[in-house]
Amino acid sequence: MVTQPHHLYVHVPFCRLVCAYCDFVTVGGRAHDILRYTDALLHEIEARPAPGELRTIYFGGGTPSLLSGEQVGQVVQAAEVRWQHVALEEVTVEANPSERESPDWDGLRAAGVTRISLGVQSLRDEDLVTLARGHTAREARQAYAAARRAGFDNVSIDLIYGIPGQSPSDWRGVLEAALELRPDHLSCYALQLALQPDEWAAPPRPGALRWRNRVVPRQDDALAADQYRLAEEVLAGRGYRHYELSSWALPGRESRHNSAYWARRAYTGIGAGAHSYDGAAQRSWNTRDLDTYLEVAEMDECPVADAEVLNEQERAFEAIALGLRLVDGISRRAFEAEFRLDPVERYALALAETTRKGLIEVDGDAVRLSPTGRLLASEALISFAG
Amino acid sequence: MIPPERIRNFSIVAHIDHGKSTLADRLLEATHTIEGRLMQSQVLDSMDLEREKGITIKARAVRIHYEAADGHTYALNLIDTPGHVDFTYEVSRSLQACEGAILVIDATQGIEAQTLANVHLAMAQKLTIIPVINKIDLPSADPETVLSELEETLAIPREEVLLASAKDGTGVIEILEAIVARVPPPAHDGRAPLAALVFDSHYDQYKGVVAYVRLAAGTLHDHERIRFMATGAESEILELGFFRPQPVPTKRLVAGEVGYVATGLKSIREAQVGDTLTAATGGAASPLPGYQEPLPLVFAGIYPLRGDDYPELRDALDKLHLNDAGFVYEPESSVALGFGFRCGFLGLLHMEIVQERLEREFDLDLIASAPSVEYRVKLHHAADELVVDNPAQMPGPGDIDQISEPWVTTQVITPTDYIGPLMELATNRRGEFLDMEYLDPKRVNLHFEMPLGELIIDFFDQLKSRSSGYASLDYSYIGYRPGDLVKLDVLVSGEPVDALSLIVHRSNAYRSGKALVDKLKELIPRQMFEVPVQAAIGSHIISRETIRAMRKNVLAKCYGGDITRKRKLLEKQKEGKQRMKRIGSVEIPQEAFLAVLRMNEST
Repeated sequence: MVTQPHHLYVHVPFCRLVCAYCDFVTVGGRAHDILRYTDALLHEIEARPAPGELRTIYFGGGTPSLLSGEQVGQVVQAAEVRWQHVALEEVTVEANPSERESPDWDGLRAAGVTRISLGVQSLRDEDLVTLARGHTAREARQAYAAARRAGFDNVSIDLIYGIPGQSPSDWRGVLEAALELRPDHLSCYALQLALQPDEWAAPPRPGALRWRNRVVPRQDDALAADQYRLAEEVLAGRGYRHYELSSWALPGRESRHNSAYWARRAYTGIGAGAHSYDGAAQRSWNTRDLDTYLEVAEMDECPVADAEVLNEQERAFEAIALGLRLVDGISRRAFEAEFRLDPVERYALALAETTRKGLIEVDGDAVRLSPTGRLLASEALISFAG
Repeated sequence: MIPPERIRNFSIVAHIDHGKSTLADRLLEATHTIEGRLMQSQVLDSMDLEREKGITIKARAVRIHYEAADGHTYALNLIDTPGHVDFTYEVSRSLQACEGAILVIDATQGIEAQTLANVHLAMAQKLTIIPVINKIDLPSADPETVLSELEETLAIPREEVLLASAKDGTGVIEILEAIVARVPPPAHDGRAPLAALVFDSHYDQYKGVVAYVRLAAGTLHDHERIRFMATGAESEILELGFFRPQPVPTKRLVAGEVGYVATGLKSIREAQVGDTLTAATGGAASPLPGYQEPLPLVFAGIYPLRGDDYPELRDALDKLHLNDAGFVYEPESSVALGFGFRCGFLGLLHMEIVQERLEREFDLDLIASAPSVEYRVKLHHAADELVVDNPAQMPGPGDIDQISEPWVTTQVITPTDYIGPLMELATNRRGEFLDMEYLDPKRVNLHFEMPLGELIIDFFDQLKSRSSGYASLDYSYIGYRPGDLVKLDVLVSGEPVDALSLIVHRSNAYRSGKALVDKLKELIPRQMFEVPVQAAIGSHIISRETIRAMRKNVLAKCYGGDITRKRKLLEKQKEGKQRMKRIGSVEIPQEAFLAVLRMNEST
């Protein structure tokens, strides 16, 4: 029997400065707990089953670069020991490019990290002030250079557009500045601010909510749409392939870990609030509360808070929703192999509506979002929802 | 058996909160009609809503046995009256069943608009008035001022006025003695053909319609066959009795007495308030005076929030109607709101009560369109007048010769401090000032005439807020007058939204139109195309806004593998979308309509 690929996500919630726009699980002012947390992560790895062949590890946050190289190394090593089958292709750490919390580049390198995802967000200081990022464009460039110097040959940069006060030409400037660094990978995210967070998002702190209330009225989604188009055009011209709605990569530099999400492969998520998927029908998630997490994990118990079992309809919808995030779209044959019906038949009504609206194209084996549809993906996906 | 000359029929009239129900409670206690330990505050108000709102909706009748100072035992029939202007007709029926009325006035508040209205009704029916100043135990009580007010406005000599505190029982015996001494016994010709006034009725699922009657002439016997003269409904009496306050069956009721008749009839429509009950054979030649159909003045569409609840709403209306003949309803449908009912009510409070009873007693979630009145429309090319109670059905301006609307006369009693703001309010609502009467140096009674349509939207709330709650209002219908009225339509992408049409005075059309359009622009989510939102009078656009096309709607990030959240968000959006109403190709969440309809309540 072929061993199925498996992926490991490690959530590190600590931040020196919690960004007002962020709704991931984060905590500020708890840096003194990092040691204890790392230990809890090791406990959780032990408490978890370790199925399949471990292919990627991804340290996301929060700010995982607050961990020392040694701490990251302990987690990587524990995973390598715990999994019977290991064939690591990619170990990513998200890093914050701030001088005051300069990552342990050499340590990370030594720990076996192969890829850095740098939260640059903008290379325009006005934008960084609006976002209250706590670092400057200069610091971001320095951090990038330091990572390269330490020997990282696979570096991704995150950028944010749709920031109030950022014109299309400002955004072009940010893209050009980023391209000068010649990153292997770029993620461009629109600034999305939830004023009334859904039940699944971390509730914003009061200060964050005040900030959002100030910023939201200044947002203009028509402008953001133009900026997205601009990114597609500029990046394509420089050899970056647009492979997922928010992701561009030089050939061969696509994120393998994230690709596993979109391909609905199995992954284990450890740490506070991390999500896991068994590759079939079950999704589960850990407790979001840091203290609860620490206590439970230290007792060698599994900190899973809840789980859901997907029915066939939900699985099929996820296949569509995640598959359509990929610019190449969904393979009709692959879908049919899994769900026994060509998606063009199964979703005839939704496809009729979305193709009429010009959101989706059916092209041979592929069902994919049109260029307009990439900006209105949610609008298109709603038609397919159960 | 108490002889007819020792029967006293009386009611209590009072403004809301002036202590009518508390006084009734004390009278029942003092006469041992109810023992203190069984006493539940506001015994007569049996509906939950009545207790909560502190008002009396349905009239009740209780027989009290009182051993007076003269050593005789008297039967005092307390006939309760509704305290609100919407139920004026019921009040006048109740008063017709009496020879006397206790007028309760709050020693801290003085005369209020509804007190005056009801006292005038009582005086018109030549009832003996027993004025009582209540709440004299309160530190802020000012009986002197109230005494002058009574003298000034109602010509009541101060020596006739009793001082009481229903709360601590002061003056209760004096009131009972005054009823015995001052209220005349009813006329009592027990041998004349049977004629009994129906002053209230309710539906009981075991006994059918139970009519509350006051016998004007003749005798009612248990199991007798009876007939309601206005409706012609006949039945055999299942049970006859009176209330103490629980029903006490009896063999017969004679002229002058008050009691109930269980008829077994299936619909309250067959035994309406104001009708005359008589014997099926050998009955009265002519009915007692004063029967009239209840007149609905305020109209609104009532819709279930969830379309699936339509059958439940229909059943609930049928059931409620068994007990409240005052409202009328018929099915209607709206593009924006789906299937529902056009309902007519006696007034705004009545509308509110019906809606609340539907929601509470039948567990329905409802949405009501903006209240409207009944317009009479003269057309160019038709002889007959058209009656329109739903703005959506108003013909185009080109076909209309003239629109008339109902007017009311209002009296507003207010401390002098608020005269300015209240005059301004009434004038903004097209009120025509008639005169101002001083009740005492600090309080006035302002008389206006104004269109009912202006009164029913938010006027009362505005009145209260502009007078810090001190002003009180009473109104009565005076008739139809032509007005420069226009139908204001709201168009979304060129399609009219029926539920949002309004009839407004031409001078207010622009302001109302702009407010509606602005609000909708805020509430309608962006579509994949541009959506114009317009307000129009006929084909003339008076206000316009454009909702820009949606350019971007995409969840940027995958939240570290949190696919569940993303899927649930999409499923939720899908659900929302399915609940949306379509106006042409524009999808509009029902919440948008709700918000606009709520806004109507306060423009």
